[in-house]
Amino acid sequence: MNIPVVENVLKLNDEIAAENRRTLKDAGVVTITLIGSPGSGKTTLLETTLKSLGNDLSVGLLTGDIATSRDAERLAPHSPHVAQINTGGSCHLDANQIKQGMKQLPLDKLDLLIIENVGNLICPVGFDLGQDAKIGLFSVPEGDDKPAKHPRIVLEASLLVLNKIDLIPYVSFDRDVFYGDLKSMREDAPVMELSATTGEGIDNWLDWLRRLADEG
Amino acid sequence: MHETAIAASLLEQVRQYIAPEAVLQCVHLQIGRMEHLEETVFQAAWSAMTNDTPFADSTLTIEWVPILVRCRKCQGEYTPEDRAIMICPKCDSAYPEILQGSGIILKSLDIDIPGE
Repeated sequence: MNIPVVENVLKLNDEIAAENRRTLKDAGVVTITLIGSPGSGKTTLLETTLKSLGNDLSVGLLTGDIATSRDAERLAPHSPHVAQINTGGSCHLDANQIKQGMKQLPLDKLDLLIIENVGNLICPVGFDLGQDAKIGLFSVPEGDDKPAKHPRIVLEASLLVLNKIDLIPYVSFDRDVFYGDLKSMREDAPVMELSATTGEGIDNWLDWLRRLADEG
Repeated sequence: MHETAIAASLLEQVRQYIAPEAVLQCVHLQIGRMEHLEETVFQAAWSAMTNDTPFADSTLTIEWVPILVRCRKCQGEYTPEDRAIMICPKCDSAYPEILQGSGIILKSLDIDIPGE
């Protein structure tokens, strides 16, 4: 006997993500998810962001890792609203982990919530968390071929950030390859270059965040 | 290894449809080519996940759904040969809107009810 079903396998995740989205919208919080490989500079970018934003925006952070609270410890000096999510072994955050994490943050006091996903350019893309925008973070030492190897983040991200541009003179990274591959996938892909350590390009990034928070 | 998480989600979903007296034979899935899923890994994840359950002998079939893209420039529709090359064969630009090829859908379940 065949029982017809026709149901999204990630239905439960998507339902919780929709609930998160409603809760955040009702609280007036704009939410972004930062997706990038291990070592691409996600936490460093967030440290620089928090330091540079000053009191412009009240930012909450949910930071996901398989183990340790090191990222939360790094970010805590720069924001009173930081919570660590440990996934145990999972390669991505899911909507329920965000729902639990949100309970640790005073949403009514926040303008912007930044979710730092587990370091991984693949798995996190498939799980809706309830965010308003996905940011894909690439970095120069990873190589110029990362967009071509990770098409889904290129297609789905509201913004792509190329970090560590200060290292271009020292490593093998060809901007023509990077941008050529992007052009083959999404000609109008929004890309921003910056260095979270030297601060180059950070102003553009902060403006983008402020605009997003304003529009939200 | 998000195949494990998806297999776990699928298991929870399947449980809702299977009466205690029924034997699950096969799970039919429809998966878009844009999804980051590898079939052998997913099959292994399902086996591992169902190992200690009444569904241990069940199998999975996957119908892969090709990617269908609409060009936002010329409105033409096409199936890209490679996920990393979305160039429209008609106007040679890459302004893709994904119409089809996303999603992991539980289509149906084959069950047997002993004695019937």
